[in-house]
Amino acid sequence: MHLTCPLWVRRIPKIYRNNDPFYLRNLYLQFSFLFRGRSSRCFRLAEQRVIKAFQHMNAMRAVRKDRFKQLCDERIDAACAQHGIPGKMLIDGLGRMNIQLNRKMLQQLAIYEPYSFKSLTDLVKQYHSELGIVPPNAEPPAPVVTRGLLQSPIVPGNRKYYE
Amino acid sequence: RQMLPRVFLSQPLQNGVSRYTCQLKRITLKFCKFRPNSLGAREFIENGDFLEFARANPQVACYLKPRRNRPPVLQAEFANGSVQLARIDSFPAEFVRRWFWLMRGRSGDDLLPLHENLRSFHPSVQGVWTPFTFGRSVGLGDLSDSRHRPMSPSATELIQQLHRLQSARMS
Repeated sequence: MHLTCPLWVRRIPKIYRNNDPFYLRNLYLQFSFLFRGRSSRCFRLAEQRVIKAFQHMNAMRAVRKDRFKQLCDERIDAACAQHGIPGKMLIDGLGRMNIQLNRKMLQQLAIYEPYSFKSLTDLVKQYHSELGIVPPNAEPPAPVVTRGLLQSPIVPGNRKYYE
Repeated sequence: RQMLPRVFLSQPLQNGVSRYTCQLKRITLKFCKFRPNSLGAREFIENGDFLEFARANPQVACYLKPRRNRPPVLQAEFANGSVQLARIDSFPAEFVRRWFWLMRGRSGDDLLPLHENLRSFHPSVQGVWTPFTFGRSVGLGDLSDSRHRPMSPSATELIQQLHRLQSARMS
């Protein structure tokens, strides 16, 4: 749809119904500009297509959010798979370690900051290996001295950050 | 097909990168001196907020247009030639003041949905991920998996075919 400032509102006011039919029909035809064929020229066809277009716009709002979320998950999964862990394990592991990165940021890191992302996967692998869980097909991470801080991060020095 | 076109965040002529110029050039407040829906606009003027705005922004030409029997409107004109209207019908004076200062911060570009609320020309510090970033651990795909097959067989494939035929003949 070609939406100018007044059309942006995407509302067909009821006031147009009780007046000269020209105004309502003109409004529909403004909305149907750039549609295919006679739906952009004839009111009786345009009315149907415009109503359907509004329904599509409305329905797509929820669908769009879901699809971007799916895309996000796929990307994280693919990036993790390169380092040998499943995507869900990464998100769960980071949550357990109180590393508060949401999927949007993880996705951005995986694309633009691949070495940082790798270090996050290493952290998750280390956390799980300390608990005795070994992810299959994973290379063991470079040995890191954690002194048990991944499992119990609260020590007298940083207690105030966990309150 | 019915999705609204999305744009990337941008400023005219990279305004703000090295130097910032206020994009608002002229602001006109049209109001009625009598009707009740212009009360907020009238209070805004009488309280001195309009003069305060004009003095604080010498780069903006501020106009007042009293118009009988018309609803109040704020008209802002920008450096790129665009005009934006804000209907301030029955707004309190504080809201009118906020609209003034909002227009002062705008660039005049059309309000369209954004792809992202951020934009950077150098989004990556470590280098964007490629299949070769961590060595060739990401399979680039054998040609046998690919849906796009060449028309004629390669030399390797020809030799493999010959070998298969020969071993079938021998056995």
